[in-house]
Amino acid sequence: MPDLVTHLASALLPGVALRRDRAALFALGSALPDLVGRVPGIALTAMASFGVPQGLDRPLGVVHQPLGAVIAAALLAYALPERGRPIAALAISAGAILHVTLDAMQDYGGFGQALLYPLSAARFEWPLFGPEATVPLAPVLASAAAVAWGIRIARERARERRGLA
Amino acid sequence: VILSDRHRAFVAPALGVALLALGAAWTLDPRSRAPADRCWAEPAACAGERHRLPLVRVVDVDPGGSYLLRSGPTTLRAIGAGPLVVGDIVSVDGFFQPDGTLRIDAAASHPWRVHKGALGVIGVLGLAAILAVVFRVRRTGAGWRVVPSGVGDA
Repeated sequence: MPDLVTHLASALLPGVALRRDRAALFALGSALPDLVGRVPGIALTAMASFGVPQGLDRPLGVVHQPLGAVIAAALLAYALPERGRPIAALAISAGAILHVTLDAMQDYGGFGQALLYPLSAARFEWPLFGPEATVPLAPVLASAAAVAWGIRIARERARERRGLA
Repeated sequence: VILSDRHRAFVAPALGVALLALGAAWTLDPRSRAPADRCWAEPAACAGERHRLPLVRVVDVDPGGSYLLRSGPTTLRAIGAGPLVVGDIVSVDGFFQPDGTLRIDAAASHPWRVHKGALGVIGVLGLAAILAVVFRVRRTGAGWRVVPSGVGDA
């Protein structure tokens, strides 16, 4: 998987064209598969020396597959008011699909992403870059996202000031 | 309509059950695991097989030329393809011998792995900051909801 900053930037850059709350949900979706499907496993491994049982996180791995991520997105959307809920579920799902698509572009040595699970256990992988290839790019992408959002926010404020004048 | 509050009492638990069932199927399905995973639990059972073990840490180097590799809490004895040093994170391709030792044919180093972990922490903090700025938790007519900042602030 690309690093989390790259995943967030990959959502925040196109997200600059979206409404602010939808862009934030799109970004949340772009991190969701790792936050739910990977971080608990990393935490458990780190606590292994304290006798914490391993493998408890395995069921959560399904949120790193498209169908599991979409169901999790729909459940998360229930935290929002009814009116914006379908769009919220769509934004989070789109972010999660973007995440697993980017992950499938990484070289896993043949053990790629189970994009069609549970319909098929086939692994998909288009190895365009190595496991850490995005690390040097992450600061550049994050800076580009910050600049794009900075310009947008500055324009919005200028428009508000003109409206008030 | 399907995500409306009217159908919430039925749809939300149904989605939860579907996710749990999917998680259970994923856990029990051996195809969800990397082929080399079982070799960590029982290396001798993989004797005669060639596997790729991604992202393992070198935790010990024997002067005789063998290594102790770790993935999670499990360790594995390996030989060949040096020199590796303690603390290295590598992906190794190799062949399991009858005694369960892995003979490494090729090892690829991952010097950026620590940086990638740090970016993960930065990403989590950045996302938390974004969500904290963009959303607020408010009590609405339907109960507590996460709403965009500015809604109901007046």
